[in-house]
Formats: sequence, structure tokens, C-alpha cells
Amino acid sequence: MSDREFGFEIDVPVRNEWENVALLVTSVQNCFNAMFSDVEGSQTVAMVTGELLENAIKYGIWTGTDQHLRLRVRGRSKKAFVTVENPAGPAEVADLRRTLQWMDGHENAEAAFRARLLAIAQTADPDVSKLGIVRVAYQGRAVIKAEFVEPVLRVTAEVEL
Amino acid sequence: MSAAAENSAMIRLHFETIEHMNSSTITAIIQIVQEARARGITLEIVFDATKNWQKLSFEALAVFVKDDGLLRLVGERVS
Repeated sequence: MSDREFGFEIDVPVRNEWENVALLVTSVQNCFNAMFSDVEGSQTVAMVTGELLENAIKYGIWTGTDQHLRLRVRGRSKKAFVTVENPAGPAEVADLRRTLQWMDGHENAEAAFRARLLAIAQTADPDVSKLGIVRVAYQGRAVIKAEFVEPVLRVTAEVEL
Repeated sequence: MSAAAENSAMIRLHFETIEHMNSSTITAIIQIVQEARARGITLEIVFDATKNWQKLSFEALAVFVKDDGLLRLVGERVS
């Protein structure tokens, strides 16, 4: 049976604790490796997972009783979808959409990534970074979509492997 | 960094064996690049160019390479 006949899906609630990011990144990478023996692909999916989870924890609104986000990783050998859901407000969503629009204003994701590196070097403001989402687009070769159904922000990265 | 400046030494950072790095690490590396340049210290960043994620991450730092030679990006093959 070839790899192409397999699909995969991971769908888990995750407590919004930083240490869970590394646990899940490793889990996703190991799972992917076990299925496809694709080291580059597994590293890419793991990186995308880590960046989206970190963004969710960092920018999510965690004042309610529910302290969980949701991670869903699914796909096949040539394409993966990494989705992270977290509680958010209109301001956080607008901020994310501004970053996505800023990326769209560049020739490609690599140009956006390099421009972001230069921007980071020119400021001490940590909010200027937003490098994670740009990295997902560049190194993950990912198309990123953001959906907001208040109060949940769902960010999906479609990753070509 | 201070010791390197006082002794006119260069700093070499090795990343070849690292399996994961997040974007905050990249931001920290940029700060190191900036500080080293401000102090006139030569900084060499060594990475494994056979790992695609390392190649993509570190080669992008070429935006900080200038004619002053204070930043070197070295992609090595690690077996």
C-alpha cells in the first residue's frame, strides 16, 4: 500500500500552556515521520504547527473560563492543513488580517519574510514582529486563511509538501 | 559579546545540530547580529544547508550581510 492511499488527521484540544507547544510539535513530527518517512515534510508541518500554536497562545484572549485552543492537522502525503482555533477579539483578528494583507503586498512569501527581518532590526517594539505567520507562509510554502466567528479565530495553513 | 569586543575576537554561532527553531529565536538572532555589528565584532553563523528549514531560515539573514564583512553565513553539510 503506497503512502498516497493514506490520509491522516489529528484533532485535539490543547491547554494554552507554552510547554504544550514543544510537546505537540514533536508529536506531529513523529506522527508524520511514522506515516510518510518524509523528514522535510514532517519538519515543515511541525514548524507550521508550532508557529500557529504560539500565535494562538500569545494573541488569544484567555480571560474566559475555557483555557483551551484546538489543533487540527490533516491531509495526505502531498498536502497538509494545519488549523488552530483560539478565542480572540476583533482587534486581534484585524491585526492578523493586516499582517496577511501586508504579505500579499510583496512579490512572494520570501520577499515578505526578508522584509520582515529588516523591519524587526529597525525597531525594539516586539509587536512589530509577527514573524511567525510570515515564516509559515515562506518556509511552509503555505496559503494562510483566517476566519472569525466570534469569539473563535480559526487560522488554517494549507501546506504543500 | 563584551569579551569578544575587548579581545578583537570573532563570534561563531553553531546551529547545525538544532532540529527546531521558532520565530522568536530568529528575532533573537537578529538582535545578536545588530549588537555584534554595532560593536564591530565579526559574527559567523554556521548552519546545516542540507536541512531545508535551516537553509531557508539562515540564508534569509543575508539581508544583513554588508560589505563590512562583519556577518558571515556559512552553510555546512553535517553528516
